[in-house]
Amino acid sequence: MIEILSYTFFQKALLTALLASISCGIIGSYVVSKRIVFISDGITHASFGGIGLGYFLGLNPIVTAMVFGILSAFGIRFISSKGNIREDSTIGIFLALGMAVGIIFIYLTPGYAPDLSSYLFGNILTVTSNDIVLSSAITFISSAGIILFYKEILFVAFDEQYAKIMKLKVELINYSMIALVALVVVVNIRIAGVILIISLLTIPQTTALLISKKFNVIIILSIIIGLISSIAGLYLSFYLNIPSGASIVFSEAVIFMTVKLAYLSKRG
Amino acid sequence: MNEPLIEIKNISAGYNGSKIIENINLTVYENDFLGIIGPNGGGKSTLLKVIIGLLKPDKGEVILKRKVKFGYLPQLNLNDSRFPITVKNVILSGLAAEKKIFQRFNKNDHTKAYEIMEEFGLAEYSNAPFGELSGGQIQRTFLSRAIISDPDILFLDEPTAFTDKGFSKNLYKILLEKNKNTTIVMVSHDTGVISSYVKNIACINRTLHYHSGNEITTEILDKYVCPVELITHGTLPHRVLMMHKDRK
Repeated sequence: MIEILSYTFFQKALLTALLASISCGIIGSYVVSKRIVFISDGITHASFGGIGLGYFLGLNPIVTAMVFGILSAFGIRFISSKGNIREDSTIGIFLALGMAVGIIFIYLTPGYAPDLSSYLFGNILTVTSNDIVLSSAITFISSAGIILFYKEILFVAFDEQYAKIMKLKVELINYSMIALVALVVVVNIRIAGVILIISLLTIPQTTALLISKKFNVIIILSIIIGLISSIAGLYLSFYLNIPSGASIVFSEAVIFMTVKLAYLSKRG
Repeated sequence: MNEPLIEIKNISAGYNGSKIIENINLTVYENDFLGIIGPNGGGKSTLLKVIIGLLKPDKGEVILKRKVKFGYLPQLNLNDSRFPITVKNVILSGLAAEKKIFQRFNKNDHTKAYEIMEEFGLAEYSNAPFGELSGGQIQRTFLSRAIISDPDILFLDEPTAFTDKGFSKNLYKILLEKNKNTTIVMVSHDTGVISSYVKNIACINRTLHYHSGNEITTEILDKYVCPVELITHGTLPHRVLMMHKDRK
């Protein structure tokens, strides 16, 4: 149990999991509370276009995916704010288009696409030192953002109209938060892949919502639940020799069901 | 008559190209208690939103005579109240305009929030999740949010739509007290209440008709097609509902 801690790859994986728990805990609480899960999932899938572009141009796919993620987040917001096309339809289009662009680029890239499955399904053990630096930066931005602008973020998320009357910078906060959603999702893609990453932003938070209805408590609980499930998932992955992304998601789901059952039985 | 506080000139506005209100001219005076009445879809809430700045008018302008602090009670939409936030934080959000960025709420702010919660019967819900409140409690919470900053102008959109009769009476007492140094603009269906509390009346049904004084006469109802309830006093309580002119 302890000896695997001495492996560098495992230390890196643990550090990545810790950073992910913090950034996903914070931003996921916002996503779940504001009920923008679908737009967040749409951004994730759309960012796959950036991964393909990264392969094609020989750049770090995570960086190009970030650009794609932010642009599609802004694109979805902008187009649906015009009022002609409904937001869920816009998301559906961006989601599919991003995936399609990604597939085209990967197909056009000569030779074999290494690590492709780690972007799709996640493999925390392939995380590089560069990825950790990037992840630390995004985690720092998310934490500083929520601490410094807590009341603004809370009030805008709760009631945009009143926030406008209170002269808060509603548009700026909304666009910054959705950009942050894109960044957090993309920087953690290596953990659970394009397909599963949204669960890191939703399952611990939904579990936390069962326990508390206070935004700040939900953030802290989500971080803790995320951390416990990613450590459990890592060990499961190592000992059962299964992909880490899936085992982390599985651990989160087990915690969710345990808490849910505990509440159900308490109510009798 | 007091000094004008807000002048609304030639306002036309609506949503997605449709015109809800047209060529509205209205002056709100310092310390006025203006009641806005009119049929559903007549543009009462739209006019409020234009004055407050939530909706850009297609035409015309709203002129504020001095720098003012707004308090606003929106028309309630009970569908979207599940965000995880406490009642106290909702009320404190009414002070957000006075706080600089990074600035936290201080002891004074919290004391003020507690006093208002006490007054509005919300003290025991201070830390309760907002999403678990009843319609009446939500309305009281939003009223508290609207008045916590001691606004210069208070805009109320159907303030008693979800509250019970007992609280409504209490509310009007509070409003009359506030009216000593606050201008109040109130949208309401309840003309009985309007005529007993307000100083002036505006009737809006796409266009606006202003009546100084608080008498609701049959002339108002007839001439300007305001299908609203009339309440008269007699030995037996009774109400007479006026016919809508074009439905006769």
